Amino acid sequence: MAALRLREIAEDCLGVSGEISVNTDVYGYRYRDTDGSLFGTLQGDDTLPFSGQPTARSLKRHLETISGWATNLVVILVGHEPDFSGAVSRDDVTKIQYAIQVMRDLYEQVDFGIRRLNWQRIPAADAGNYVNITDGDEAEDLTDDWSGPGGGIDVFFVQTVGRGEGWSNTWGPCDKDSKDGRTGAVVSLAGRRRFTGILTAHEVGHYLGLGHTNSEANLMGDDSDGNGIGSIDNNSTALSELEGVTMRGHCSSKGPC
Amino acid sequence: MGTDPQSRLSPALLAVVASDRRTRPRPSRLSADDRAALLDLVFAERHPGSTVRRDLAVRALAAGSEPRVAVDALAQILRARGIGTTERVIAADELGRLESEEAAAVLSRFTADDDPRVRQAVFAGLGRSGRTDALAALPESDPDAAARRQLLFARALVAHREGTDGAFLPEARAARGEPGAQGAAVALRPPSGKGASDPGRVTGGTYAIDVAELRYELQCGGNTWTTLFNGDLVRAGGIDHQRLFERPWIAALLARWILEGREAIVQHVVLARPVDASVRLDVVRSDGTVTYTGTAERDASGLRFVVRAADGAAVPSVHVEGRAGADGVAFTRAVASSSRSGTRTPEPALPA
Repeated sequence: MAALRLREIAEDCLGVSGEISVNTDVYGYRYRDTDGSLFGTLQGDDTLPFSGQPTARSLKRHLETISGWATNLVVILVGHEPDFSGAVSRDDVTKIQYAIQVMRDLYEQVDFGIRRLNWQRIPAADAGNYVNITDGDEAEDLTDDWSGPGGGIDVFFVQTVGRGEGWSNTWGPCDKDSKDGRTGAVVSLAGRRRFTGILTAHEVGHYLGLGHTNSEANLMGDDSDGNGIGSIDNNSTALSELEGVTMRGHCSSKGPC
Repeated sequence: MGTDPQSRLSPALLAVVASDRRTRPRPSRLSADDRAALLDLVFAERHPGSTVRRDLAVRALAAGSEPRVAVDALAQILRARGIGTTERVIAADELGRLESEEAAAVLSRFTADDDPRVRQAVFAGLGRSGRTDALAALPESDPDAAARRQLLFARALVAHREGTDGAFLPEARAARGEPGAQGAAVALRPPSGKGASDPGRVTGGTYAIDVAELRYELQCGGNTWTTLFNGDLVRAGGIDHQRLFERPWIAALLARWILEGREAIVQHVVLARPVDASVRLDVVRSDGTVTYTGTAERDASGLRFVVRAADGAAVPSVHVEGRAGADGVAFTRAVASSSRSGTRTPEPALPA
């Protein structure tokens, strides 16, 4: 029964048929570390929010959420070469996969899924020093200059972000040619795995319409000092039902499939 | 081997360079021991599980030191070939933002660095502060496209800052076509609120020019910049337009407000240079991309100018006409489209 449901969802929601690899086709995790691991070298603090374990995931819960309200991501590796000779390392891509799993676990709290991952790259020769973003304005320049294919929210992964660790517009546009603000989220890879996941979920949360809160326990963090940067850490994991409603109302959210 | 550099950091410094946080305190003035510990951290072997970050240590060395001391520390990092590119790029970036002759002298020694990202940051830094002698250190070209664009901009910035006859940016063409009727609002007005604030809140430097008190808010759709004019071009609250015909100038800077209006950072530079009986105007982003281009000519009120989006730049189509003179600057016609063109598309990271 579960196998039948998996095939059904893979075909209806992901457009995948024939022989299916759960990790590659259903989760969209296309990279492995040199030791074959999907998530690379984990540290003591690296646990997934849903299970509280380093890598334990629920396929059943994943299928439930990607077949419900969900969005797609265009994962853009800034300065990446396929042989890993650019700015992006194999450790980075497995970190991104772990980050997306953290993000999926966090969004599952409000029954919201990350359905498809479209892996894209900006070659090293074209990326220049967009590999290291200085501030929010340069993050905007990056999203002005580059836009991924339609059908998903652009998430640009860069090596460092000088201030704020990540940037995104609140209620980001679905028109990637929009002139105002950032047309994607920009996320630093400088943190460790779990935090990179929380940060990615935070920035994409902004894009989906979420603002800061007055609690660092909330995924959207505390901005009580009013400087526009929500303070988050490894324990900023909570999402409210109301925040879930907001996410589902964004133009890039897709209904059940 | 010495002790773990992380263990030598004070609790306050640990907070400054802590991993896995989005907000951190700014470093207070560093002691010599603090600087030594931070430098050791930058040069230490990278541990994936470390709870402190080397890139933040480089930023802290710049932010927490007197400029002359910072130059020494950042020069050490730039010289170190065994550490990551990121730390060296950040060191070059911070040196450039110091906008000092000492920092420019250090940067001048790395214009032929093996790493194109380091070269790009070095060129950006020299462009921010370089004087005529920096031109001698800058090569004619660079094999890397992004570094080459930054190099050309650096050479042009020095020429415009010093008022020399070249080197200038390659001539940008204005994009064809007019913005549609349903465009975004464009307006230029005297500053209000955060736009009126003092130049001290402009962080990251002002391209080594003295900015005047005269300023305007430039709004285009949902974006607002504060226009900071070169003090050498402003007299009695107006634009001394005759001076624009005398030599090339870094005429103005367009600063964006960040952190909810607490700080501003320069995003675009307006270069002006006389060409025959007119003045060529180029609005250039900090990475050397010409985003808008136009010309200015004398008229009865002072100066009449037209600026449009540059061909190939990923910016909205814009057409701005206006006047500048003793009464200040005003737009007489300004329209912008509500969307951008020229955006580039990444390529699939994996084979289909």
